[in-house]
Amino acid sequence: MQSGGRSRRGAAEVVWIVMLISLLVAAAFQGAVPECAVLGHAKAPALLGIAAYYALGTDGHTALFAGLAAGTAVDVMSPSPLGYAALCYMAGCWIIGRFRGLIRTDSVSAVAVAGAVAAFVADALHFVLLARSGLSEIGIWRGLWHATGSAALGAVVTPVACAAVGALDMLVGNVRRDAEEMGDAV
Amino acid sequence: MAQELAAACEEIRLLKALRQENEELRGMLDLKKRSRRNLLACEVIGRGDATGWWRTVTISKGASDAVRPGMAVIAAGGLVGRTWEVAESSSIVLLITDPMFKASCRFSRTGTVGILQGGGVSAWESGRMSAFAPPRPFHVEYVSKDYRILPRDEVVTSGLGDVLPEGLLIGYATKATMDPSGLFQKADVAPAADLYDLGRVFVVLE
Repeated sequence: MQSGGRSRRGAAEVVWIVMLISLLVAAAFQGAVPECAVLGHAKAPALLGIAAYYALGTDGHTALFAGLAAGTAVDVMSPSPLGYAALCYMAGCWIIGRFRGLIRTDSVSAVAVAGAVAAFVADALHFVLLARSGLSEIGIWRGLWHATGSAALGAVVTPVACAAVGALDMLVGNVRRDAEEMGDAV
Repeated sequence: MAQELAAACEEIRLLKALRQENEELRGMLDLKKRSRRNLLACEVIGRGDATGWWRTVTISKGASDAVRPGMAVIAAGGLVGRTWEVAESSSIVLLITDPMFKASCRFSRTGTVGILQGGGVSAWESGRMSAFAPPRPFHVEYVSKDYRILPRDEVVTSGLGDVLPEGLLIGYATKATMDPSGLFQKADVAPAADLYDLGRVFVVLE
């Protein structure tokens, strides 16, 4: 599995532990940081940023699991019915995974765009699900405004989340730079 | 000397905080004594949710304290919202400013009833983004056009529909306009409770 000049090497258990720690920290961040009124009361999608990291750098199953775990955390931390945000975050991860070949993971702007698109898709889908089940009555324009705000925050949060989890992965040996591997081979 | 001064300053800060808490608790005790209702005191332990779709607060009492979904939540000023999701030892309260919040209400002066709805502003209103427009926390719709609504008219819960108990102060009318259909009028209402500074609230248990 390649991810911007890095290759994955670590034991599977350590990969899951890093994912769990990252999701816990992101959940605390997303829960604590207040919503932005000017951006339609959108919250910074830190959990989706973590899921996006796995969608950009791992196989489809790991990415979907990361989306499921991140979305379930959002469902638990909000009055949203269990499974709604999980489904939406999985859709966001699927979109990133679908176009992974086109995204340069070593480019901050490319990761930001991927994060923005995933956040918009996840938020808009969440709004549709909530509106259809009568759990949101804010109107389509306000819903779109919220999704756009989420995309803007996603563009900021996703590169930071990817850099942070990438650094943690590197620290524990889950990921090694290709240059280091070549050095080892020599 | 400098150390003593710093210690004294620290003590003053602590005493100020304690005085504020004391005043707040006295106000709540006074409200509980004055009220004929069965009130349960709670602390606000969280604000907002992880998605930003709803205007909510989390309170420190839940099902183990006899809190049930749909109960009115009030502060010293007036109605704050209603309990929405109740866990064992905490509950999520839907604030009156959320568009999901709807309740039957009554203008105290005239006795005319209407439907209260939180928020309800569109993203684009009066030619500008509503984020940059003055806030309109909630409004009352379907008010009979035969009664004149005056600024500062008191709005209370009507008790109709058995959703919220009767007579809880909601807020005061700020502006009334005729609906475009010409069949009824609607009014903007300013909340009586300070929703941005909620520390302690009461759940109305009846």
